[in-house]
Amino acid sequence: MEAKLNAEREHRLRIARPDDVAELQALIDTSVRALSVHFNTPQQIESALRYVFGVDTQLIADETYYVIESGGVIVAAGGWSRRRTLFGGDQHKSADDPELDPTREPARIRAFFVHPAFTRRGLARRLFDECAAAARAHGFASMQLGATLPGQPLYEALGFSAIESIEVPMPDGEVLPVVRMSRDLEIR
Amino acid sequence: MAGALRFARWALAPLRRWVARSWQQDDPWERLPYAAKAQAFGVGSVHPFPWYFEGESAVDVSCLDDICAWLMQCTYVRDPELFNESDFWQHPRTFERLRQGDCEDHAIWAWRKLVELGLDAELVSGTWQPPNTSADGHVWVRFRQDSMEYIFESVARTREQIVRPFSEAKAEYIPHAGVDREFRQHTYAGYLRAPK
Repeated sequence: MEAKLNAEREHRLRIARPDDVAELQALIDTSVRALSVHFNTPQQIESALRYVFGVDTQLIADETYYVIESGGVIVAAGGWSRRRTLFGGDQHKSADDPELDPTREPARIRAFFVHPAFTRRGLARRLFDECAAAARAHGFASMQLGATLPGQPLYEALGFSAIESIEVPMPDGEVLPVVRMSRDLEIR
Repeated sequence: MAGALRFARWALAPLRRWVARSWQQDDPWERLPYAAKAQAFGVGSVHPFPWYFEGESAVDVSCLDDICAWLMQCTYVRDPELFNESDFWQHPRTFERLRQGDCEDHAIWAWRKLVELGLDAELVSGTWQPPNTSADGHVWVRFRQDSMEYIFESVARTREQIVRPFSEAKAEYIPHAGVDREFRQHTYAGYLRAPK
C-alpha cells in the first residue's frame, strides 16, 4: 500500500493542456518506435507515425486526455472520448467528430502511450482507471478502442475483448493492423 | 549505382558550393537549381511537407477573404511560450484547434488553404524585415492569382497587410527555401546571404 502511494506521488496524473502538445508528440514518437519493434515492420512504424499516430487535440479541448509526469516530464499519456473517432491523431481525423450517445454507444479509450523506460509500472492502468471513472460519470456503460498489436495485451489485461480486426491502409501503401476491442463498465 | 551516385555527389560538392557562391545574388528571389531539405526551413521542420495536408480540415473556406478572416482571429504566440520548445511546427488541424502559434503555424495553414482553393501557392522560409524593425527568421506564403503574384503575410492583422502585391512587398523578405503545391522544394539565392 505504501509503495503504491509512493508511486502515485512520484508519478503525478493531470489533465493534458494545449501546451503539452509538443512534448506529447515527442512521447508518441519515442513510445511507438521503441515498443512496436516486435509487432510491426519498420516501414509500418514510420508510416503509422506519419499518417495515424499523433496528438488528437480534440481530446485536450474536451479535457478527456491525461498525462502522467515524472520529475516534471511526461512519461505516459492516455484518455477517453465521448466522440466517434476510434483512433488517430490530428493528421488522421475527418472534419467532424460528433458526440456519441452514452445510452446506446460505447465511449472510446484513446491514444495510450507510455515512455519505454516507464513501462510495467502500472501507469497505463492508472490512466485507464481515471478514464473509466470519467466515462462512467458521463453515463457510458461500455468502452471501445482500436488497439495496435503491441497494445493488445495491455488492453486484454484491462478486461477488453477483441471484436474485430481492422486493416488501416496508409497513403504510402503500408497497412497498419488494428484490433477493435470492447469491455463493459461496471456500475458502481 | 546508388553508391556511384553518392560518390559523384560527394566529389562534386566543392564545385557545387563554388557555383552557389559565384551565383548572381542581386535578386534574393532568384531560384537556385538546388533542392532544399525540409530541415532548411527551420529546426522544427521535421515532417515531409505532404504531412501538413493529411487529414481533413475542420475549417471551411471558399475564398481568400475567408482565409484572412479566420487567421485574424488567431493569436500569435512564440513556441517557447506555447510549447516550451524552441521551434515546433504544428499540423494545420492542431493549429485549427489551438488557434495559437507562430509564423510557420499560421503560414502552413494558409498555404494548405490556398492550395485547396486551387491557387498556385508556395510556402517560403527566410527572413522578414518590416520597415523600422530588425530582420528575423520568418515563414510566409507566395501565391499567384489571375496572373498577379502576391505575398500572403499570415501573421498580419488586416486584410490589406495579409495580401500584398509581390512587387510591393518583396523587398522586405529574403527567401531561403520554398516548397510549392506539388511539394517540390527549392533554394533561393537569398539563402546565400544568410549568415552561416
